Amino acid sequence: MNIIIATIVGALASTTVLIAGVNAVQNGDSQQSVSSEQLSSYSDQ
Amino acid sequence: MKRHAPDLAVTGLVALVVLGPLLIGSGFWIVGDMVFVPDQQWRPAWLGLDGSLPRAVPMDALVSVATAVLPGALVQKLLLLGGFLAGGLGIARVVGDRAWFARAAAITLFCWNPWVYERLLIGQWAILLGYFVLPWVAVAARRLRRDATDWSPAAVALVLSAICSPSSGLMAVGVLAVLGLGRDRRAWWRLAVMALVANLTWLVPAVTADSARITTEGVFEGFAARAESGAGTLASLLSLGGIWKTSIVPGEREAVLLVLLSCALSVVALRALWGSGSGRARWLVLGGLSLALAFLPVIAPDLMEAAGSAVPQLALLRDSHRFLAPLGLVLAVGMAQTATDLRARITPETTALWSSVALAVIAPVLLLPSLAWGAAGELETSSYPQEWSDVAALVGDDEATVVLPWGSAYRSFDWNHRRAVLDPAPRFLRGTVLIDDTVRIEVSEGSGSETVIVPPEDPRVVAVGTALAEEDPAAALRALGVRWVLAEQGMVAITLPSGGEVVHEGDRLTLVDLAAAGPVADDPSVVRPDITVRRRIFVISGHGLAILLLLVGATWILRSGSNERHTA
Repeated sequence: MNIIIATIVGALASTTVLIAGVNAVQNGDSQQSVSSEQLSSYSDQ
Repeated sequence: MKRHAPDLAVTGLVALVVLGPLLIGSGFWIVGDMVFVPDQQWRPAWLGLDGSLPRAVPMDALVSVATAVLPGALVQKLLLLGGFLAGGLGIARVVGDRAWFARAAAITLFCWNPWVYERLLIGQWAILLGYFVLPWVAVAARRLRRDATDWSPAAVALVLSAICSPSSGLMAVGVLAVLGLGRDRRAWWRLAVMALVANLTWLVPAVTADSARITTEGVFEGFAARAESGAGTLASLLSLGGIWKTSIVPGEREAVLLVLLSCALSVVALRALWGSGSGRARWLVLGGLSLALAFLPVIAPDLMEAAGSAVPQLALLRDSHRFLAPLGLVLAVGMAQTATDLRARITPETTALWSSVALAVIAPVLLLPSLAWGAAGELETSSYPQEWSDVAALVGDDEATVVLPWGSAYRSFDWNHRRAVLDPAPRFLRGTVLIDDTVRIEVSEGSGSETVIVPPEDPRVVAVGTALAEEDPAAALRALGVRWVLAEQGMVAITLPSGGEVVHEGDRLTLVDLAAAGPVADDPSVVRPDITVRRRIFVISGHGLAILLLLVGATWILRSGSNERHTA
């Protein structure tokens, strides 16, 4: 029973870490800066 | 004290991991609406005396006073750190009868979720502080329910919430009403009076904001919650995300699977709450109301528009995503119950269930790693160039300054990593400082999109915009009573009005003195706040009554020493 529980919890945690980590890294620089031309409509971005 | 040590450790760790770069570095976090300056100048608007809508009243006044004593960067650090500590320790107190790991689960969910991320990245730090006060409102509500005469914690919590922002004040009233009221009608009346007095700080300026031109046209739809991923808007909201400003949404929130896993976490927390003991109905009603309020502008924007047309002050409520805050409180309590239930299932044959308890504690962090270390590097610290202080020293208390470029209140300074931020000039310079606060929002319209333009609320800004379009803008500005034109360089090309003397010309700022080429009209009513005696009396009285309620409530708590007797 313990092995089943540990496997499920471990799989859930590692999947989350993997997907979240990849998405966090991929989007890491997406919102760093705003170009001057975009400032007038900054609020909609 | 020993019992609270794990709570302090977990909360401190969360705060350190989130705020680390700000706490150990020098300078400010300047992003979106979060603008701190070394010494925030005092102006009547901070108390709501100038007739504009009170969006940061009286928090800006408090910051101005604090920066007169302490450096602005330190004030920012203290406020954000204090907020996280208050929130974490507060939610631990709400679930204080649970084991330490259950309290830890509540702390991580409450302090580490998409709502906190998105409000921090949009720069609404005062609303974030209001969120962190909510657990204390819940504690006060519990005491009020047990003893209808135990009103003092509720009074203090209500005033502190209202100080943070109008929406925080309203949410605190809602939380207190749902969690704290029973059948005792006297308690209803008492709460109504306390709620009214506590919120006078912004209510009086809002009601007397006759100089502000408030528009609600399109704003509810424009600021409505949005889907962050293919999972849809409701899934975003149920997992505490869905802010209207899509540019600040972290990558994790755009992944359908992660949003669905976050929803699953919320469902698990709500399910555990459903199976808990007495009081569960109140918590579930609170969560349901919070979700419904956030979702309402999505499904019924026309209804909100109609209500806004009748009561323009409802524009203050346009950003409905912020009203998800009480749901964060509910889910945190549910998460504590989840950890408790999991622990109860552990037998000698199922000791591995401890790993699921641990997962309940760290799941919010795993689902949103981007919140770590200044939003994964998004929030780098910045310091103002010396030029800003040089220019500020030239402008007097009784003078008006127009800040260019005109057309937006947001700037992307090279010294601030080109991050979009509200113009710091109104906080940095003395006197009247006018910037164009026109807001443009893209609203989805079928397959395409439509731009909703929210015009400036301040008629003085409209007058300056007209003057700048004149053939001789310098003369037109002088006629309005404007002496200075400050051009913030390095973003878009700026045409300075001819007919003035450049008194400062640096790499980033240019200051033009229009008075050098002609007399500046001495008509304070055009560009300077028109503070009537009547408004002054009303507004100051409102603040005075709220402060009085705070002081009486705090004194009553200290005097009775009841804080310790009612904590179970």
